[in-house]
Amino acid sequence: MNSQLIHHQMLEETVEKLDQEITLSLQTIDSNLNYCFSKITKDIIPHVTRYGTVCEEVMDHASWLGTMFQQTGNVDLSLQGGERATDGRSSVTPETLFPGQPSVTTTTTANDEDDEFHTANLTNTGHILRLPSDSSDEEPVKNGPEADGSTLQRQRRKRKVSLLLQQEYGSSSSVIGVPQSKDSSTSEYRGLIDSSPMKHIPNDDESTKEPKPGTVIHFSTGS
Amino acid sequence: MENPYEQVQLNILSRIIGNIDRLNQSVATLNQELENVNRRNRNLEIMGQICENYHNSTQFNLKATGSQKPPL
Repeated sequence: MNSQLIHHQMLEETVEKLDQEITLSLQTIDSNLNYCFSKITKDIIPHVTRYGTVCEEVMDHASWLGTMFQQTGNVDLSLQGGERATDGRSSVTPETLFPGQPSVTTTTTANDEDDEFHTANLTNTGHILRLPSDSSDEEPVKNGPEADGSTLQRQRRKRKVSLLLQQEYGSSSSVIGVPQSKDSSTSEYRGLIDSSPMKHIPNDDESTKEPKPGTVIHFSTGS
Repeated sequence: MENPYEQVQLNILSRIIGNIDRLNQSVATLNQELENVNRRNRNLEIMGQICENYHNSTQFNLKATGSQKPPL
């Protein structure tokens, strides 16, 4: 009888203990969940929103770059001659001056942007950096798609321009072909460039290309 | 009356349920915000790739023409 009582008491004690432990575990669960919720609501979401605003600012600043590169690849504009005092050539297709490089024809697929950019940038940079020792071997390569005498002349002009540029700059790897459609926009844009390590070009004459609304760059700085 | 712990446990359970609900809502909001940011960053990502390609091509061109100068 006594042992049963004692046994019963012990069981009750264990039940009590278990109940308490259950309650305690539930409470810890609740407190952890509460902590998680408050952490997410108070720290993480504002952080993410701030990150989003900063990223938006970055995108706003870099949007001009995007349009420039897009036009390098997609649009029928030659970006060379924006800063150079060249004859007002307005080549239709961005041509490459490097032999063996695939000549860039106007493609409008957004996916080819990078490839076109590659070659087009090669055009730009090659145009800038190309040494005058270019023989006429390039012409058949370049003229593959076009085979026009005008393109030959354009290429010769480009080489002369590259010569001039090289003389002016020495070697400036930071020169980027600028999509220019109007002189004012170019001068203003150059004012913007001055803030960057890019070298300033004294020549303000620019070849007017086929003005497209996308190429006009409006900057408030005036050089 | 016999099981006071049950009442307490039920209380705690109900609070847990409420907390989980709020947590779910906040996580959904977080997910939405992250999706927005991700959407806006896709263009930036492409831009970065373009710039990197540009850099690579300029480097290659400079090396090819031999006009690359050593770093200052």
